Amino acid sequence: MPREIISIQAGQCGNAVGSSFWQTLCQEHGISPDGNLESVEEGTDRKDVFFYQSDDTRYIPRAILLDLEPRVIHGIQTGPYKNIYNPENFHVPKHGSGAGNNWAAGYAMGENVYEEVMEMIEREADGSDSLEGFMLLHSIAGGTGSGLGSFLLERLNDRFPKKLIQTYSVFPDTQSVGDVVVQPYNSMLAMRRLTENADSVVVLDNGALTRIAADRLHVQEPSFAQTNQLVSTVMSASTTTLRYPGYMHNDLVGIIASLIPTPRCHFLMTSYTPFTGDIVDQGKTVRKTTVLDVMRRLLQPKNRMVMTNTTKNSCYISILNIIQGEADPTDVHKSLLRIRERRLATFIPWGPASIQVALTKKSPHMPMSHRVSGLMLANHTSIATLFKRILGQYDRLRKRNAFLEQYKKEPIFANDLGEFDEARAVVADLIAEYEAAESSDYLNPSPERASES
Amino acid sequence: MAATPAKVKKLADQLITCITGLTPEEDPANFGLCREFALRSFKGYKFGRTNQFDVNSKLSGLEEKLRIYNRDDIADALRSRLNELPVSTFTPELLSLFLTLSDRPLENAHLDDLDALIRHDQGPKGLTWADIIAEEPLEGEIWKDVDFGAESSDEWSEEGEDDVVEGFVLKGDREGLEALKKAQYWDVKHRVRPIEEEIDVSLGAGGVENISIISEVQAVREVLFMLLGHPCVLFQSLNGIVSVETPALSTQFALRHTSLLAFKALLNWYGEKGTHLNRIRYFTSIRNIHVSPEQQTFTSAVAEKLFLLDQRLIEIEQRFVGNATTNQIASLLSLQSELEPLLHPYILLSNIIGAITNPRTPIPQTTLATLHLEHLFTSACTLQSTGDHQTFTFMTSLFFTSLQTYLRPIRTWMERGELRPSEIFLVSQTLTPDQVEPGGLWHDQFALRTDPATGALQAPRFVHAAAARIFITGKSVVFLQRLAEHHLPTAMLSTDAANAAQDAELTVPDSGGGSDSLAPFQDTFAAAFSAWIGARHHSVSSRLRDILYRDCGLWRSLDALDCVYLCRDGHRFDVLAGAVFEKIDKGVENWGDRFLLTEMVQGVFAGVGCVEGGRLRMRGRMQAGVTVREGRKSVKMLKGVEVDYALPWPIMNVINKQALEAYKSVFTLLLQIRRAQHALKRLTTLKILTTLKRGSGEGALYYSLKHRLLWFTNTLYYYLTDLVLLPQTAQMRAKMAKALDVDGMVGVHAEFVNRIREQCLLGPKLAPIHQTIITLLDLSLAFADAQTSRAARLLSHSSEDLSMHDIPPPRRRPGPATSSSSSDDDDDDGEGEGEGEEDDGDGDGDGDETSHQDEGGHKRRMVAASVRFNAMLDFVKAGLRGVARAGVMPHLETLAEGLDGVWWVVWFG
Repeated sequence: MPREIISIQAGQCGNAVGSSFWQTLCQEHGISPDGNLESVEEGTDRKDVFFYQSDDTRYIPRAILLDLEPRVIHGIQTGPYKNIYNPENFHVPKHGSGAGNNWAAGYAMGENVYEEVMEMIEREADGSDSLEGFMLLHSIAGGTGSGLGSFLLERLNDRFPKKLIQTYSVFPDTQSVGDVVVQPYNSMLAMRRLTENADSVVVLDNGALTRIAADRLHVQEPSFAQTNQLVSTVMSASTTTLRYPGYMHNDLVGIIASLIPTPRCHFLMTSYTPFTGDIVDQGKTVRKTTVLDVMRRLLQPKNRMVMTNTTKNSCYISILNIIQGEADPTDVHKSLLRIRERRLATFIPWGPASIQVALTKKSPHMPMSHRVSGLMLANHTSIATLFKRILGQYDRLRKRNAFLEQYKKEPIFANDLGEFDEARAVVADLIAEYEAAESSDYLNPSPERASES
Repeated sequence: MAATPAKVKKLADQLITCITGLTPEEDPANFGLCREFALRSFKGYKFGRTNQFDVNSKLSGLEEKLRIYNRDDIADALRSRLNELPVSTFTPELLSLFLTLSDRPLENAHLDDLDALIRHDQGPKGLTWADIIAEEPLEGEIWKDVDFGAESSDEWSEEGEDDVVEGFVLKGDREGLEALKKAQYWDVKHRVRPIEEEIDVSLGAGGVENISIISEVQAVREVLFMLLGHPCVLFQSLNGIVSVETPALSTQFALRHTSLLAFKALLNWYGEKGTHLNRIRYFTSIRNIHVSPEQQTFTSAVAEKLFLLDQRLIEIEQRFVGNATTNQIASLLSLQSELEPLLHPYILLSNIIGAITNPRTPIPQTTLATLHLEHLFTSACTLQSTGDHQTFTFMTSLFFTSLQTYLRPIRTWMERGELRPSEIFLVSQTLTPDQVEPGGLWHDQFALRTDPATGALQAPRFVHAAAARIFITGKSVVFLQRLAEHHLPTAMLSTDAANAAQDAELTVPDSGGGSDSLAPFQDTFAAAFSAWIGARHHSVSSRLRDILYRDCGLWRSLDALDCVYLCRDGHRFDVLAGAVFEKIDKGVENWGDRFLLTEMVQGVFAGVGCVEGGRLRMRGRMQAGVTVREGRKSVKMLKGVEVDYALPWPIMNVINKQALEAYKSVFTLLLQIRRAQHALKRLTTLKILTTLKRGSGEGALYYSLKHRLLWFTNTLYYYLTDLVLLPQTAQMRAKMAKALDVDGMVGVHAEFVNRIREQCLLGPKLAPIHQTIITLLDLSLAFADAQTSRAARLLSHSSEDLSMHDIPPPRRRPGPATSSSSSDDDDDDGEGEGEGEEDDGDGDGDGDETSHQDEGGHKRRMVAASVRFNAMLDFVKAGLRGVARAGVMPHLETLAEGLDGVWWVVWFG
């Protein structure tokens, strides 16, 4: 009775990250590019969370690949791992021109492809014993991942109300304006769905990813391949507890439940350390990796894969550290005490201040040069600053009513732009909620505040 | 009765004396009375003749009766005898008397008894030559003596005749007799000469009468006799105690040149030694086949030593006897100095024998059997330390001779695992092979013999150190044999090799011989003994250990236990637990069905290499009279969930039932925590509850309490698994791999079990904390239950109201608490604090009014739950800290620290 997870990758970014993720998973589980096991020995891993076995015993990912333009998917279909995917799970229009970085276009396209995509999802869901949930891989700045992704989130929630939906959402670099002019619009509209329809969102900030690739890996201008590699590392690390079951955190709901106390504050940030040459060649360094080192580095803002501005009030709501490798539990405990002593992590004043730790095995198929590696999944209030920046950019565009023409062409904005305002309200509310969570009377608001909200 | 009164009187007197024993001389009064009575009776009685025809008919009747009863043989015998009976005057009377005396002749008559009447010596005399000669004397020419001399040469005849005569008639050897008599000095009285003659100077002064003077040679020989255990005149041996001065000796002896006192003192010294020797002699003379072989060996060894001593004494004696050609100085003093070292070991030996045979306190037979070894060993140690090498060698040789017999059963035990059926051996069989369960083979079948009173090992002291290893080796052998019986060919003992190894006798480096050796005997012996055992012990136990590890799958079993009970594979445990919880939540009454659960658990662990599915059993038991719906409100019901993993019997010897109980209790605790986690996690998927706004008091309470409960269960679970089970298991395995023998393994495992039991808060000392934790888990369940039913209610109320914006309908938001309702709250809190959540499910809440009340009650209960949670958590933390601070279980501090780091907001005042 595995707890299966169906992953849906939408759009250019989602598919690129996804293909990298599947490659990593295959390597970790010892699955060759044709889907067969490389070694016959019985492992203790659970391949069936993300893969199923076809009749000819090949391992097939439970992946659905969607895009509105064929370039990236075509790359996957001709790439080294082309054979592992179920060919029926690709959806790409033959002469699709994409969503043109337009959220509304992507969203509108959703209606067209709905039947076909739902059929795929239903088929995968039927093939599962006890489906635990979905994983959506997308970016929120573009058109397809953002728009189609938003559409799917809404529909999945309706169709599978009891299943969890976790997204790995790549946020645009908000420090600089990217090549997509309308990304604040797209982000804002997608953010609303992420807030309302997802159970957990792992936020991956493109700006931070680029910075990490540049700083930690000493790469001047990191390619998308390199940042995608980072994302897939984080994804594979955050799912190790599901795939290599230890004592705890063996199901998605467990992780989500312990990280997210209040349902709206479900935007998680991640840190990963150490990034070394195993992942990106240029990053080869000699490092001392003790458990304490790993756990300390995980708390350093520069390792966060989200660029946030921490204020003196910002704090952690919850932390889950996934430690891989030969970590002695007593070391872990000592490290936790040390971190608490030095107050390296500030927690919300209204809940238990503790770092949760999950110890997992390493994949036997992946030689790693360091003893211990760690991933932090954290719920931190400072993530609101990222949203604020998006909001700020949005407001600047919206005030000027810039670039709205192409949105108005789509059905959802046919009558008015009310959708924009609603989305803004939701995001603003979310930001307020995160800020409120920093205060000690969050759970016991004064009557005035209660009546306000 | 024609007899004169005088004759009658005389006869009557005799009769009285015969019967009563009274005589007229001694007791005339009584006698007179008796006679009076008798005579009166005679006078007044008419004595008619016996009717002879009557007697004849009676006899015929008896004969007939015998024939009727098929005793023809007796009847024939009777008839033939009656026919033979010569008829005389009193025949009828005699026969009548016999008839009267006869006692049930039919039953009691036996023809065989007649044999007893026959007087054998008076059987018919055989013909003898004497009779023949008497009748026909051998007379005549041919019977005359042949004169051989007539035909022989006459020259020889003269002398020859004399010799022949002398050969037949020995002349008394007068001179020899005289010499012999003279030699019997004890009969010859050498009186002490008067002082004036100045010969017996030393004695004369004493003025002692009745003293015989003997020569010193005679005294020396007497002494030697005495030492050899023969009777002699100078000493008297009474019950083995040799004494010089006794009243039985009528004569006192003295030496001419020594004062009597000095002589006596000297003789006393010898006497004392003689007493000791006698004790040894007596000891060896007892041939008791019922004593243990160890004692028999000891006796024979002592006899051998005694024989050596006797040889020496005889040699000495030879010097003084009859050999006139060599001059020998006869001196009691020089003899004393010569014998002193020779006798010294024997004196010690005699002391030992004394201690064994006449112990001060009664000693049980088991101890007695080896007591001599103990004593020999102790004295050998003492002797070596005092540097008495000669005696030391003497003692060690005795010790080793005796030890060989003692070691024989030990060797049998260590080689073949067989026990001598006796009460003496080190190891006793407590259960016969038929009685013992295979799983208890190691622990239950044998035991070291200990004193029931003191608990001390019943074995010589020098064995104590090695006893455990001897015990283990034998048990290992038995174990291996059992394994071999169960078709595990590798367990077959290669007896050749084993024997070869064992053939080496116990050899102790000769520390006694060279005086330069400084190594204490005790240690040398211990080392040698240890090496002797070690070879066997090592080969057998390491073999058994390897077999347990490799062929019996100890590691696999440990893995399996780890997997099944300690939930190492969280996913499988999740699946298993999830399935059980689902059934319980659905209220399936037969959730505990043995077959379904067993099938499920086997399915869950199907893919795991180390778990053999066939060994898995599972069932769920409910308390009598409690429905699932009632029972599921508490995690205690999960105590009824029993998973059994039947270990192979060889492994059961290492991991015993008690240990499995501990495993099970850990499993139960983990399952209980899982239950709470499961219930709380499920709330996440109830998306309706996500619509609760934080701003409302209810939402805040809900989120915070859920978060805290979940955090508590997570922290607890993390502590149990990652901080206790994981490191402890790893540690146990490392130690287990190093364990030398099965006992070592058992020890390691027992320690592990104790530790996890303690650290998992399952020990008796931590019962209150454990109880509180269970209550906290129950609280989680209650909370989750309440929320689930609330979610269902919300859904039924307002499905249409739930917009995408998740703004809750205003009516769900509880209004500001009015004073009246808050006072109600207080009241209800007081009453309903325990399991006050029961009435949740039935609140349908039709209409706003009821809905509001319902909300209020719900909120109240949540507040109460929150308060309870805080209080109990504080209690747990304080408890853990307290115990940890006491220094008994420092690891608990870890959990306390884990549970720490909570910053509390006190809600609602």
